[in-house]
Amino acid sequence: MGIRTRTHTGLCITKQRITAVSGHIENQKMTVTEAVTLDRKGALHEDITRFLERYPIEDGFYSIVADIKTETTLTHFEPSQFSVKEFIKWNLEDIFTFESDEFEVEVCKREYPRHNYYLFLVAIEKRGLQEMQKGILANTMLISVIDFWPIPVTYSYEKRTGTITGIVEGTMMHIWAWWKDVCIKECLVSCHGGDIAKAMIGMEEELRLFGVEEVEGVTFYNTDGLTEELRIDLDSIEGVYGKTTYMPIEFIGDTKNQCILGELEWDMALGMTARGLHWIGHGW
Amino acid sequence: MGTVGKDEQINFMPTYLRWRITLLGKKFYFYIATSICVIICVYMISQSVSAYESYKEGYTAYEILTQNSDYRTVEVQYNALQEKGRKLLQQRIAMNTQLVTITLLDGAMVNSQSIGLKQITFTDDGFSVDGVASTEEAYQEYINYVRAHLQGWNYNGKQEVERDSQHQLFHLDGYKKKSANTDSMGS
Repeated sequence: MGIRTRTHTGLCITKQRITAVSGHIENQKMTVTEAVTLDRKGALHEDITRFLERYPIEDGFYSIVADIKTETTLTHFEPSQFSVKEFIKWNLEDIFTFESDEFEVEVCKREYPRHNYYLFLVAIEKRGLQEMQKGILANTMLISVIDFWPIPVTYSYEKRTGTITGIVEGTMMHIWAWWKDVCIKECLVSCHGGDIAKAMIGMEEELRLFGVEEVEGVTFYNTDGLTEELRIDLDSIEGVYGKTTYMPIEFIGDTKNQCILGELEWDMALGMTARGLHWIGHGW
Repeated sequence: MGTVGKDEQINFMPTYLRWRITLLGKKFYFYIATSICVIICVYMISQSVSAYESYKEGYTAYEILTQNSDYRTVEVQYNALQEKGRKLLQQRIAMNTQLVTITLLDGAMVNSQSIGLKQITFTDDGFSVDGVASTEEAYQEYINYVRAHLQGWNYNGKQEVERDSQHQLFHLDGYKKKSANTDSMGS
């Protein structure tokens, strides 16, 4: 009797393209069976429909992350004084720059050290989220997770705590430091070697406050448009802090050529697949 | 919100979408449940239709029967018999002869020195007592006793004095009041 493996598809939707990776867990590895991408042409929900018509995936659930305007914050929280709901009710306006009815908030709690609590709040622009939900409803997609940008990149790493992610956004570099699947610090610095290196020191110091002895790895994305000089600087920073290593992944057939590790959309889609398969938190 | 180990994870799936996905994921069970409901509904509708058909048949047969003159005659006779039987039954219920007898005898025994009963007769709507009392007072006491213990009755009594012995011969008729509660008679 054959063992039925559960397949999951991770979707990464950016303003340029929709990227999808399907996979399952086999022999303690995430096995990638499909890797496809489609350029965006219209509204988000229309493109989701177009993508599903082009690449119909017959079974399994989806997990999605989209490049929607997102703000995160990590704040001290005293459970004995406030419930989470009360805390959100009284503090949201001071935390985020969104207008009061323009965003959706999700929260999760973390404890470090013992009996010292933090609340991690994520606000996503409501319009983008609703458009994505419209696409999901229109296509009766079986979705298990809608995640926030850009955490899924970390799900495909071997170690998620203590990693630093940098994404080039126009002329700026957006940097996040990750600890136990929450962002403990983020900053936006100009794409200049010195500024980035300085920001990295700040990130490292922040990680130390959460018990991370040394940075587990750094990855910079969307670096294609940067100058040669800056790319060399980024390489040297990666050399200092180390490159992030991926979880054990096996690519089947042509997926090896299609799915390129280190590219933002592919890493996002891989990460979403890993989370959808509950293959995070198993020591990676 | 999902979890990894003890840690909660962020998930922006709204509740309605989670429910929808759950229902879609278990649609096989819903198809089965719906099929069972449809089968039950169809069975119940067919049962209702067949019951209505048999009712219609029965009603038609009844209507044909009511057109028959013999049936009408029998029906009138039957109704008259029913009415008679009902009246008899009501009277029997209204009058507890045993209690009346005991009360009449008990009243006589209370005044045993001065009251003697000759005859107690029960009719369809009451009773009659013939007796003799030693004095006028004894007769009145007896009547009062009966009235006190058999409430809800109308009484009609007459008496005459015996010339030789000076005893009071009396005749008492009792009729049940129509509106009287039969409970006062006991059961």
